[in-house]
Amino acid sequence: MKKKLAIYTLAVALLGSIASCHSPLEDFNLQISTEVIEHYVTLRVVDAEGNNVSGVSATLVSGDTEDIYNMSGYKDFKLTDNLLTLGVDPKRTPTANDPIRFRVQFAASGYNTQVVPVAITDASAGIQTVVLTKPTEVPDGAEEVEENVDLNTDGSTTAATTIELPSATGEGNMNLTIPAGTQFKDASGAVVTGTSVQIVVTSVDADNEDAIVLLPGGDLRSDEVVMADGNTAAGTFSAAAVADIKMLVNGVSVKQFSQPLVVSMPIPANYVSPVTGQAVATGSTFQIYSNSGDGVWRFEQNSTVTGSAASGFRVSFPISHLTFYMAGEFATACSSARIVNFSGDWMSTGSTYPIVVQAVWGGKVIATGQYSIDENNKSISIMNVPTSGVSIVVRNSAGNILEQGALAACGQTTTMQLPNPGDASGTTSTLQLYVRCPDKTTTITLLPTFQLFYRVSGTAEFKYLGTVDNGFLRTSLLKTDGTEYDFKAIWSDRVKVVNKHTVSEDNTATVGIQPGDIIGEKAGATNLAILTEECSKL
Amino acid sequence: MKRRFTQVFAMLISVLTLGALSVAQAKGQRDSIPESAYSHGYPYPFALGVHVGTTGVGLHVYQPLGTQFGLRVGASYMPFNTSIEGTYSGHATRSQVNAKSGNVSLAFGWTPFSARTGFFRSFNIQLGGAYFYKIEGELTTHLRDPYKYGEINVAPDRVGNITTQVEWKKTVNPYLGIGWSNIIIDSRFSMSIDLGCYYLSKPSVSMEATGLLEENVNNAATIERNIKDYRYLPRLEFGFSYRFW
Repeated sequence: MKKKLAIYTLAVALLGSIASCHSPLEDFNLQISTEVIEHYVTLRVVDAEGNNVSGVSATLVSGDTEDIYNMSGYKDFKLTDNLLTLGVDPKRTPTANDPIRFRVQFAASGYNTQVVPVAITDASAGIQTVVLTKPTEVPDGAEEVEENVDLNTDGSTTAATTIELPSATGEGNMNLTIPAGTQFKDASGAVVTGTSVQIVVTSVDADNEDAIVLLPGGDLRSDEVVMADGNTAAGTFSAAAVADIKMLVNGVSVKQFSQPLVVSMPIPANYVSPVTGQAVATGSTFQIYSNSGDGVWRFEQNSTVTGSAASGFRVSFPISHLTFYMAGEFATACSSARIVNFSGDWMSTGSTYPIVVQAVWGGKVIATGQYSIDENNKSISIMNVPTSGVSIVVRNSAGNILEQGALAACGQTTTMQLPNPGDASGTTSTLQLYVRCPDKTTTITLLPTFQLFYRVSGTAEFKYLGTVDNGFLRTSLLKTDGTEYDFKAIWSDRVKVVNKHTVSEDNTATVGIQPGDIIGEKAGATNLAILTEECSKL
Repeated sequence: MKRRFTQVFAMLISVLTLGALSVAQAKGQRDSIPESAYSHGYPYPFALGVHVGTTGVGLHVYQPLGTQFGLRVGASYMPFNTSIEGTYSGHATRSQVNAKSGNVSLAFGWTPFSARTGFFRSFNIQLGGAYFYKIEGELTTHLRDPYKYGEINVAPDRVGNITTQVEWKKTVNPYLGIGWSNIIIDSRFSMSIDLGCYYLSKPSVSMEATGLLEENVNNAATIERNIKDYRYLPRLEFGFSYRFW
């Protein structure tokens, strides 16, 4: 009997040992990254003073928009703070040779609507700034005049009229001559009648970055230009003179005329062609391009330069429609995006820094973008710049030049070694954020990528600190001497501002509700709600 | 894979049967169970057998060591594939399980009641060990349902999968168990039932994950903690043997 008891005990012990095991997947925390969208572009929308514009609506108006989503995966495009980030469905992988191009329209009450071309590749598109201007404000580098001209009952001008205004560039005035008997037509070609025509003529200095925002797309680069041979190309203008002419008859926008008007624009005497390297001279020829507001520049005609360096150069040409006219040269761009790869010893330390990259052509800045650079994100793309003669200037956040050099030829990658963009003599501080979901005991390491901005508390403007990747950012741009900073984090459709925060070398924090975690004091309930919602997506 | 397992087992049975028929034909058919089979337990008559159980299918040989003791040498192999579903952190998953186990075992048996008759006559207590030249498992886990991020249908290869590998050290592992080793069916064939446990080395876990599931490798420590007591490999085994005397 004792033997049997021992046997039974052994059997029970064996089975009991097996039964006491935990499930292998007990407490298994299955996380799905929300970093679904890998390739994206961020557009920053501000007014002429760099301030946020309220009530901005964003619409994808043309191009390859089918696979474009917001960073939450929806076709719902709204600005968060002043940023709009547009991402590509992960089923598509844009490349430098096959970028995804489309256009985004920004509109806001009281501002001119702006349509900007956008391109996304597998390299960083950075943060591109879009400036919305007010029709009532004339920026530096622009001159504007408004006149009313009487009309006959049939809508024709009663007499020949010349609108004059000081040119924003070159010597002398810009003139718009309207012959007597000219009738004004709307977009459909119908004559518009009224007692007078309201004419607004703006002369734009395309060398002035404050004025250049008045151009369609706010840029000398364009993704769609119909050239003299009828072919369409992307590229960059070298503008010698630009005019924006708007007319209203009885509240109706004028688009065409019954007979040509004549525009005469001064050309700056110091203009040097970035294409030929030749200075402007009497008899030089400029191409005249027009833009009717559809975002497409079209070749109209060639115009020969008249005058002299002493009296001033100018071009004159007839126009049959409105609204933008440009005298200049056009250089086509490579079909592929231009890629710049950065390197630097500082990258190996895990540091992240914002840099400003400018493309310069003919001595003019034709493209500017802000990028967050680190070991894992060190390639950027630049679109629609000329095939040759372009140089790249890289600046740190303080505006100091870090490096400059020629942009490599089409299809080739430009490489640049950057010195430390931060304060090399300053203390490096590390920001490491963890998140503990309310129903969990362990932290998660799967955090969404977000953009972080900072300012010294009490100052006005937030500066870009960089992209926080998986909760981590290391920088020497922040002082660890007790200086208080305000931080603004923007991700997806959320904005979080933390005010008056000092930093130290190690700034590790866990967002959560466990003892020692941070959830915020001023908006704790809101933060908890955000935390709970975001955790539910993982 | 289950089909393959069945095929392997059937093949072993066939080989054994053919072998038995050959011997029977050579020596002439025995028409009765010898009295000696009952007069004493002979827990381990010299016999060749096949078995199937929780450690797989295989072959074994019994060698008697006197009237109360015996020796069993065997080899087992278990390919095991299955699919399991589960929900973790609110996400339904499907895992493909691929487990493989192979061992060569040696066990001594003691038949305490061999002199008796009845149910416990062939009961024995076994002590031994096995060298596991392979004992590992792999789970490949992916989301059961198509994953949608906002309005985007994310392709399965972008979502990725989690591969969890559990491995025990390739070494000799002790065994303790009980069994009925000579349940006589006829003059040549007998059946055996064994129940016992191997004590394995501490398992190690490694994980690899791809795509959106990449961060889940952080769960390796959790799984390793959960299975740290997975050191008792149960052995429930049924065997059929052919005795040669």
